[in-house]
Amino acid sequence: MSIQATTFLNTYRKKMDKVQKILLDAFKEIICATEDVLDITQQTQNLKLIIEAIEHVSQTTLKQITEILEELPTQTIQELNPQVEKARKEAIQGYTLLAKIAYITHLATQDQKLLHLGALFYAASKALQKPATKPRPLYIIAAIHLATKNPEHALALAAYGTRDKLPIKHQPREKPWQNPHKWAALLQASYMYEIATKTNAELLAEWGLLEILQEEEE
Amino acid sequence: MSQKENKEEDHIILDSNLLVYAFIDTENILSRKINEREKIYSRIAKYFFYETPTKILLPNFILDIELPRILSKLIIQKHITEETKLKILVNLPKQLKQLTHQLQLLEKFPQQVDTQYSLSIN
Repeated sequence: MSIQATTFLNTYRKKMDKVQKILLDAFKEIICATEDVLDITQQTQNLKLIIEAIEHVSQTTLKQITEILEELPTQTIQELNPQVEKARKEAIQGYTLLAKIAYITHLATQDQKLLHLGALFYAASKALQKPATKPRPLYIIAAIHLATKNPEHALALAAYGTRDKLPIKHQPREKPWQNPHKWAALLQASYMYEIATKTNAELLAEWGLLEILQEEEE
Repeated sequence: MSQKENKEEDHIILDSNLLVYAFIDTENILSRKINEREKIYSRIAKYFFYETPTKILLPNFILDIELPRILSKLIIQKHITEETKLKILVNLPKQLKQLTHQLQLLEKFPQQVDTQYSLSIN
């Protein structure tokens, strides 16, 4: 009996070591891609170069990660999927809450930096939406890194990276490097639409605005 | 000009009471203070303001006069005296002006309509 238990434990340990190694390899690839993107944003503020680099890095990284994860046993993938999904949803909720807090604090202080930060948190929540085949998170990492140097470029980059998930469909015809001002406006307007208008409603309904509006109608 | 092109060039002016709901999204808020009617107003306002290609004529006086007037009425009638709440209410119209400027950049609004012109329309 004890021999059977030891054999089982050894097999299990070997299996777990293999899974751990595969996940670590995948994680290393993600870290390498992040480092590459941070290197580029450190060297230049040229949006065209940054976008080209992100697209290039993401293509190679995605291919390598897919190859690595194919080695994972099917059972492990099935076990991991719900946990990853739960973590993804919690992260989206967390970023949305941070975006809301940044907006309220901005309203109370009029600090423009908080509004930019809130828009980036909002973009981060959009970046985590499915499907995960697009390099949206890499755009957000680059945007956050760029935020202190050039906030408008940072917002434009985040808007371009998450453009397929933004609710406002009036997207600029120009590319972000041709008109970063418009792309930044797209992200900020989407942030206002999805986060700020809801926050306004929550606050103002609580303070009695709806009764005033009803009075106005009468 | 074809009918389709004509449709894309349509401009509308929302009633100012309805327009407020484009900035205050009551549609998905769970609160006993919000009734079904307000949710419908919000849906209509949001649809025209953000979701259609229809261009909105937004008269200046709504953001410059109407909205501050309603918010002032709220402050007085509900006796709002807390400093943070007052700051938020004072800064809100500025924020909404910024939003309309951003939407104007994205060509959602054809042009900024001046008060005189919009008053003559009304």
